[in-house]
Amino acid sequence: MEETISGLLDQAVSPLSRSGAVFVAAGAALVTAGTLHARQLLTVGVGPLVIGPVPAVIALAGLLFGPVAVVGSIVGYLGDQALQGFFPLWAAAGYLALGLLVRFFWGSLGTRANLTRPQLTSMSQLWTFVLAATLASLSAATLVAWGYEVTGRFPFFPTVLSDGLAQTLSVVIGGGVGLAVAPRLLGKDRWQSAVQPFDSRRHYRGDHTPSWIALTGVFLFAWVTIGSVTSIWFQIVELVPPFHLRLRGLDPLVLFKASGPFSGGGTTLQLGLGVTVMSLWFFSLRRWNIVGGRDQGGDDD
Amino acid sequence: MTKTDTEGTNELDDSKGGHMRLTRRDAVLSLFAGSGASVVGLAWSSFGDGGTIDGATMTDVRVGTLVAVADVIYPSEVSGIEEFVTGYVDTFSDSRRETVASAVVELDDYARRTRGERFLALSVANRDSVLRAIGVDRTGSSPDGSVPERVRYYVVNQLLYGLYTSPTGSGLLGIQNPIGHPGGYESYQNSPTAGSAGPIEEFDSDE
Repeated sequence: MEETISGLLDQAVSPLSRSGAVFVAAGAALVTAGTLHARQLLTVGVGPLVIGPVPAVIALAGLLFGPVAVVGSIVGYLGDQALQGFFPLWAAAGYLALGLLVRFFWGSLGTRANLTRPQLTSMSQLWTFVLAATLASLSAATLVAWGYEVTGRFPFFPTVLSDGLAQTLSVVIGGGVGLAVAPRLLGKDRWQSAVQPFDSRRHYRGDHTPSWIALTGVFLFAWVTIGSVTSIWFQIVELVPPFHLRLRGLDPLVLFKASGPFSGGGTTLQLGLGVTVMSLWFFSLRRWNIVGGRDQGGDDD
Repeated sequence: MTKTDTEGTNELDDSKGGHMRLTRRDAVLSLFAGSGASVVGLAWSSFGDGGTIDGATMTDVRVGTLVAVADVIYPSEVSGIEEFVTGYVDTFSDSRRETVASAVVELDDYARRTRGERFLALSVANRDSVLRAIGVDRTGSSPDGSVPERVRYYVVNQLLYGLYTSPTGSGLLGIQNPIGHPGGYESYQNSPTAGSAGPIEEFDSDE
């Protein structure tokens, strides 16, 4: 085979003419910016959960038009926000991760069942979409919650819970409706050159797909669980005055409040945890030849 | 499947489609990466300032945002909120105005990110939802903590402090002579339970 890289990197450089890439990216940027201005009409707030259209639009851009459209959407998002005087870099990073990962997971799961075209016309496609959307949404929300924690803006918990649930619901509901309707809207010939179907030669990981998908889920679950417990622990200790800890002979706990390695509400621990999990995930992708490896048909490392 | 035992690991060759697994070397490298990041983060935090926004100015829009927050958190019995908040902000020192404005920017940023509009442009119900979503109703109050803690400290608690240390707000709690305001003599003329019902002679006649 000609390809020397596969998976994520292969998708990022998937073949698209220069003018086609510009057209797709500009279109995605305009649609995202337009959605931002209409989103108050399409946003539903349920307590701390905010279910909106932007994650669904970015996920659809990734599924239907590929990484170029995702990058275009992020440019549209950041440009629109910058015009309002805001620079939500972590939110943009989360959307970028969402758009790329949802395509990555669909490509790996979907092509195993020969689901080369992103659409919803059968139950197997529906379940594939729900699984890919859930994994991608939770991963992106965890990344954003971690980013907020290490930059001292929001605590990891409950941000990861509220953002993760809200983003998952937004993508599954909005993206599901969009994916059911999109093939009809995009069925005309003029759209076909922009839509990027999945190539099983690039995405299919053989019988290893369930293994590394499960491993990805385990890493995600471990990160969310350990990160949340750590975050809750420091929030509880922070709320108790040192006087009460000393009064009850719990002096060692004051260490978690005092300046030093645990200052900042456990930010340094969260930083180390996040880097460790992301490194492990990256190594697992290398072991599975999904990044940096050779094509499935070639020789292994 | 060929088993290799390089550098004490149980790495398995997957060239024939066998098991693929993480090795101990991968785990150790990941732990080193995480530990290194923690050390770098710790060193960085000793130079940082907790992520606060420097140089924020108290513009009319930000005063409007404070009024919008007050609309949500002040009791419904209070009227003339805009005049009160505007006058209260005028009493702040320059450094106080800057730190409060910084917290207002963070709140506005959050509202834009989640709702697509400035906090000021949202309905009262949505403002209440944003404040609850950001967590100010359940977080602690800290001047140099996370965004919810700073919003709680510089916005919510500041506005509540302003209200309940004024005669109007403290009157809602039955305190007629808050510290720093005149009126002690008048309050001594009232019964302890009559609020501002009238002079003490009226209380005596009821007895």
